[in-house]
Amino acid sequence: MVLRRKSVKNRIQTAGLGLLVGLFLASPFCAVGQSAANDSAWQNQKVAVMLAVDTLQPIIDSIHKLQDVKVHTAILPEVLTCIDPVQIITRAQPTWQDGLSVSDMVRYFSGVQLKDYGGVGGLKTVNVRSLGTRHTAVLLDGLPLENAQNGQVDLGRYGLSDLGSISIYKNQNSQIFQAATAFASSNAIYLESRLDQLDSLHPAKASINLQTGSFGLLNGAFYGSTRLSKVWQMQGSISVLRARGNYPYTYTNGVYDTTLKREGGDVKRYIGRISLYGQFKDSSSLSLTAYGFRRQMGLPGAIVSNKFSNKERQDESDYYLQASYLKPIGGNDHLKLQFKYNHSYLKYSNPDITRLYVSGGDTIAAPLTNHYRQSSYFFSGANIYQLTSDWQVDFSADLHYDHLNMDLNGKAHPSRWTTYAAVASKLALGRMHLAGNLLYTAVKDHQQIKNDWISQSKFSPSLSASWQPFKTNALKFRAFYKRSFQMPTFNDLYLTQFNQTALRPENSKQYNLGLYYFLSWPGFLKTLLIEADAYYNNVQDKIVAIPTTSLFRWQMVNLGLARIKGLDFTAKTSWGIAEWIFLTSLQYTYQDARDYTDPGSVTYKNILPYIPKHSGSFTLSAVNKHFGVNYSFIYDGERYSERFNSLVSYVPAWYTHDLSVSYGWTLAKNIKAKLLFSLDNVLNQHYDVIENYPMPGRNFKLGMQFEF
Amino acid sequence: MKRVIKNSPLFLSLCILVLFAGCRKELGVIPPETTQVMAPGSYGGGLDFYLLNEGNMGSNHASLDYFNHQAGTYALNIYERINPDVTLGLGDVGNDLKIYGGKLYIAVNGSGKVEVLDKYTGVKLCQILVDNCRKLAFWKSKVLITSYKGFVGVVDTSRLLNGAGSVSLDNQIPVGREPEGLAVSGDKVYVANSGGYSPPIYDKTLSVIDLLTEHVQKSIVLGVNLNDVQKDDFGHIIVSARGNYKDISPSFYVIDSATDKLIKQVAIPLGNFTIQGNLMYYFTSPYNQDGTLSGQVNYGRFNLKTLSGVQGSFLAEDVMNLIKIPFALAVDPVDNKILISDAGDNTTPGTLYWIGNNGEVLWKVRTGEIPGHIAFLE
Repeated sequence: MVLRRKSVKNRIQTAGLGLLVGLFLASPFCAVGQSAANDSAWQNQKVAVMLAVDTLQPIIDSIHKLQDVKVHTAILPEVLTCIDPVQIITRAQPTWQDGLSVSDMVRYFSGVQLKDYGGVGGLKTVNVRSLGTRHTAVLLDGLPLENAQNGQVDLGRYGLSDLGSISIYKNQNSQIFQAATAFASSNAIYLESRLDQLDSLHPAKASINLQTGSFGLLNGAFYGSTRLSKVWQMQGSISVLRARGNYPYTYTNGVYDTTLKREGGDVKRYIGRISLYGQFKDSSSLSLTAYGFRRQMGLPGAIVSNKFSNKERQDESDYYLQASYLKPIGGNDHLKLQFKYNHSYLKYSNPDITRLYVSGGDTIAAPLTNHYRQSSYFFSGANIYQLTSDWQVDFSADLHYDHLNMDLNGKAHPSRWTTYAAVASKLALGRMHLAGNLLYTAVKDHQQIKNDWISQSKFSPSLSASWQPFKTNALKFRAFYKRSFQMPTFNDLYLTQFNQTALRPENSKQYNLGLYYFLSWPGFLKTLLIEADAYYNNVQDKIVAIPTTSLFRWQMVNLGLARIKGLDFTAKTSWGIAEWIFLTSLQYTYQDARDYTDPGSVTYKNILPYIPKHSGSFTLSAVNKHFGVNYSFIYDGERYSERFNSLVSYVPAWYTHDLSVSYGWTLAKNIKAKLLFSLDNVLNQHYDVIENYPMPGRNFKLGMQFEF
Repeated sequence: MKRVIKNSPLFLSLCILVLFAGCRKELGVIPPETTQVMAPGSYGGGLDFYLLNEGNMGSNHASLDYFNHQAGTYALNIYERINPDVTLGLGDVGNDLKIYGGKLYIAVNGSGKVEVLDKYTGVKLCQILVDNCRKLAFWKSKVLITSYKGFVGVVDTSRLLNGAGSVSLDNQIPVGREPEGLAVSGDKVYVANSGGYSPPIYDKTLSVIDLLTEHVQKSIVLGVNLNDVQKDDFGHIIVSARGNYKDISPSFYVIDSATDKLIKQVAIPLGNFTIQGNLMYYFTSPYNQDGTLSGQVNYGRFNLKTLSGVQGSFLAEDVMNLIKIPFALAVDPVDNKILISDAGDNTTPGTLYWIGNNGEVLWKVRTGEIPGHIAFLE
């Protein structure tokens, strides 16, 4: 019914969304009027909600403690301390249990476009507030996940089994005691590891997750943590995922209606991780982590006329070691040192292309195979000093070294030194909070093709403020301004063979004005949270690849100016009816992102590619002692695949309805079990997020969890 | 029930869903977009032409435009309206367009097919399956197609009937690496091998195929990264070379088709060229030696009878400045009007200029993405 083709003139979309927001806002207030007050029941349920929400247990440093606070505040935000707009999803939220990768959770955030090439293995990157993928940093436990090669992090690589929470900051984490790198991007996604609170009564914990589902999906994860001594705690996790990805998809123009099966979308993913945490007598703490990742998969490619399969493949592995040490010096001073070594390997092959290789003096013909090896070293030191009880100052300095070895068209081994230095401060003046930082970035590149150096250095400032006009703590206004820049990546600079040393970095400016409102009542409707932020961004000198007259040669150019006006809106409520707790969450994003490059061009003031005007999500969860029901709806409005907006580049809106139910019980003493069934894309809508990359239709998952 | 309606958040969300159900429109068949570019009937003795827009790789945006000389109209994107039942339309990366006999042939590289259409109506008759196909030529009843897989495909036109569906090749004649252009002269076809998949180890050879035996007769070593091949009226075969984007510049070669000997190498870095009567019209490559975009392009003519350059440009100065990346080039065989396309930045729609004999623009029109190839309907 919904899939049926509609005429071009049939435009209802904006009215629908507007009405939706109105309805949603009106409803809680009606409910308040009807419900009777019952203080003690309200208190009990509040605790229940807290318990349901919290699994992220802090043991190490203050960041983890703050994280914990934020976890509570995600749903019950009375104690929200954050100056800047932040959204959080934790593993306790019912939506989490249905997901396989970080990308599955990011879809629920407002202001975020997930670029999804379809299937479990398809590339999944984010575009936050239309600034572009490379402007978003992804940090795992405060340390950056880097991809010096193309500057984008594939969120499909990271499983959910060993994570505790995912949060997104539209500028940066207002917790200023962090690596200078964390200040460097326009916005950031923070992944926090799962961490269990262990004590002498509960010296070990473990969990097993097993999942199976449509299109050959098998997923198994084990997680365990144990207390080694009063000082040391160890935890490890392992996860294995396999999917055939042979889902059916349909393309139609109303005359033809073709259904085919996706080919070459198979994926195998292995993740292993071991961590050691130490909490010492002098209140200092240490964490050590070793991580390994391997993924082998097909690249199923774009679906175009007469070509419905693709033989390209990718095999990648990634290893890292990271260490973090935190030490209080005196009462007012804290020092944090961090180190990370990362090695990643990627092999790309295309058996459809045969090329010549010179090997030991002989020329041999073989299928196209490229190897990329990247090594990264990262050192960071941060020091925070409490000047007065209301005023903190932080100094952070980082050093990165990235080296890429690739065997494309001759030899290229570019390397890059990046230095970040930041001074950041946070100040509370009564009900007014201020935070700001100044970041210095210096980049030096060395590449052996021409044996020359390229260097760049720049200052980028950021300022945030929040103000509570009333003592009641219910209403808060906030604002920020941020400037940042992104260097051209190794791909931009060296992959095209043309050595575009004149390529300039991308610059962005962000302005944000917002409010935050929280109310709680005893009775039927428990809490209501409303957040709204309006923003204006501009991006200059966007780095774009343009094809040249030959199929093999692309050229990178700095192109243009984009202006983005937007609004992020979030409303969350929690309710209690009898033994049930209901949580609802509504996210709505309006974006008007346009190209202002060249007033004479046909693309002037056209909407930027893949930015819908309207997008949003709605989730409804109901939980009681045994059962959990979760419904979610995600909507992405109409958009264009190219800079010139026309019928040819038009990509229709899409929406999915996902349902899941779970039943949990105590299997034996100390063993809890949970059975989970989910049905995604219930209406079996066929859609593309990225043009010509079909997404799966209706699919199911069946899961079993054991907690020890 | 009343209670449920009043209280339940579930009910509320159901209402919301119903609202959202109206928020999706799909396009269906995209209609052509017609522009009046000149007064009807004002181009009495002219010719209609088709223009093929390549479309970016992976976009499936190859499209066909049509100029109707009597109506004076230019219609964008006519393929889908005429052939709405073809799954996903014309396809991905249109690389060549030729008219032979009563048929219009379109090589669609990314879709691995050559579309065979009725040349008057544009109705699809059938398709030829050729992986990675590039350029088209014809000899007697044979269609010849180069493929980057390293062969020239041969299929007999008697098999290309309406409703034949997907036709496979009769023969694959192995040639050099990644062959590009080809041209027929007598019973021979000359094929330019590029070797573009293996830089810096480019191919340097021109394969000469005897069409009677369908075997390569000889390979002529010419220069690095050969590209286009065309034949003139003086027994010459013109072969352009792209160079290696480093120390070897683009240039072109003139071969005598009687002896298959090199007559002349000319140091003009051709971007694209077309032959009309005595003259070769060309523009130079808009790329610098190292492959960066220069914006310095010459629009010249070369006399094939005397094998010498012609003074001056075929474009007026102000027109040259309008064009960012010149791409397609064709000369109307009836009254020598010049058609030249600008691919813009290759990611947005291009522009087609119709140039009069004094080098001025008579009309221009917005095309599809990367307007690349023109075929006149004689």
